[in-house]
Amino acid sequence: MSINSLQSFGVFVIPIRFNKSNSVYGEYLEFVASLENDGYEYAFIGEHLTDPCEDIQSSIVFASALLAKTKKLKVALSVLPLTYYNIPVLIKQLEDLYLLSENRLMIGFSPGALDSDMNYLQLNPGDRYRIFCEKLNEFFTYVDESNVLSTIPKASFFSTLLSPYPLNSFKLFEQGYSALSSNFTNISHHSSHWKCLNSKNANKNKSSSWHVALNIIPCFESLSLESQSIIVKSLKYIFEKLNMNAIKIMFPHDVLIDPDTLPEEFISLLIEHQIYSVDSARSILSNDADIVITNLFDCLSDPEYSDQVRAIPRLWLTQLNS
Amino acid sequence: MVNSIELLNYIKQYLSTLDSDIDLSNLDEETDLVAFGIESIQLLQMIIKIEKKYNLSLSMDKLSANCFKLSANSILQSSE
Repeated sequence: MSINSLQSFGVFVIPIRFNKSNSVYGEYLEFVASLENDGYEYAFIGEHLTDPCEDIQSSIVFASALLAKTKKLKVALSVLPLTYYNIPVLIKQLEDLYLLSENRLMIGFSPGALDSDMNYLQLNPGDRYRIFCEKLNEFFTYVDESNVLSTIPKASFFSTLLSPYPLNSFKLFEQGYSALSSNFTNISHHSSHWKCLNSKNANKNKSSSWHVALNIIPCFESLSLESQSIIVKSLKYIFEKLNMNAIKIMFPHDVLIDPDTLPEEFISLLIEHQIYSVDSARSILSNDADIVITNLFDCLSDPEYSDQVRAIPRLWLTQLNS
Repeated sequence: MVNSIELLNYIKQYLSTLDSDIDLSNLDEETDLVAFGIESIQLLQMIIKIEKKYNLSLSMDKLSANCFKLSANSILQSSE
């Protein structure tokens, strides 16, 4: 695959917290805000209501703080689990956020994922997709009626792709919305994502975009042992969270992991198939992706990690031109 | 080798466990489960169970040749 020299860079922010010495609204906010001076153009902010380790509970709150601290960075809510929201109230909050952002806001939407979030809201987890479909229709009806939100280009709305078989994702491109491939979906499934997005000749007007998140670390071996340990713990945490889907999502189809796989071997496979250097990411990333997003791990107390994250856009473009 | 009727019955049984109120009366071997409204992650879980139960391996390239339609018949035609 060739390289698209027009690719932009983003950072995905909802670190899986194993190092509680840093605060999300202290060091993380300051660090992400500073990335706009390092070649990053986008920050994608995650949210979970009840995840014990992923502790941004409102992407809107984090985004408003980030927007207030930055001038250029475009900020994406990544993603709003519409199932949980009162849509008319959400629309009013998004109107304010969009005005604060001065055209720098992107809005992601999804059904949400955690049963514990549904339980917290006293909703039946089995009703998730039914409620989501109702809320999604309500959401875009209100967006269309909003004097503020109806001015946002459709391509600034997006949803996440996690499955290796996102067969219904063509609906996003069909309607002019964009898509974001999760950093935990193995890169070998990206060609399926692109095929599915464009199946049914959906993207005829080419307004939709495809954003790709990856776990890019320029030199994993140079990080502190604590950072390496946190990254491995984060990957294992996601593997366990994805449960029976994990092997299909996080690994290529031909990788065999079974109960006989040794723990050391499993960790090696996780690193091999989930962590990419700038060079390896560049060499295998599709040129159809328009924003390359690197995931932020909970390693900010390691100056080597922070420096490596800052360097990614520069390294990417330097290697591209060399 | 599983046939399409047996696979369809398994798919119906699986979908019933997701939603006991789901109307499956119109679901046949050719029904596209995406058009039927099943979400991606639910489809993924179903594919994993089908592959394990019937020792199949779904090929994305073959699904592509079947216009990304996911039905009992297309699963069998797209498996290796």
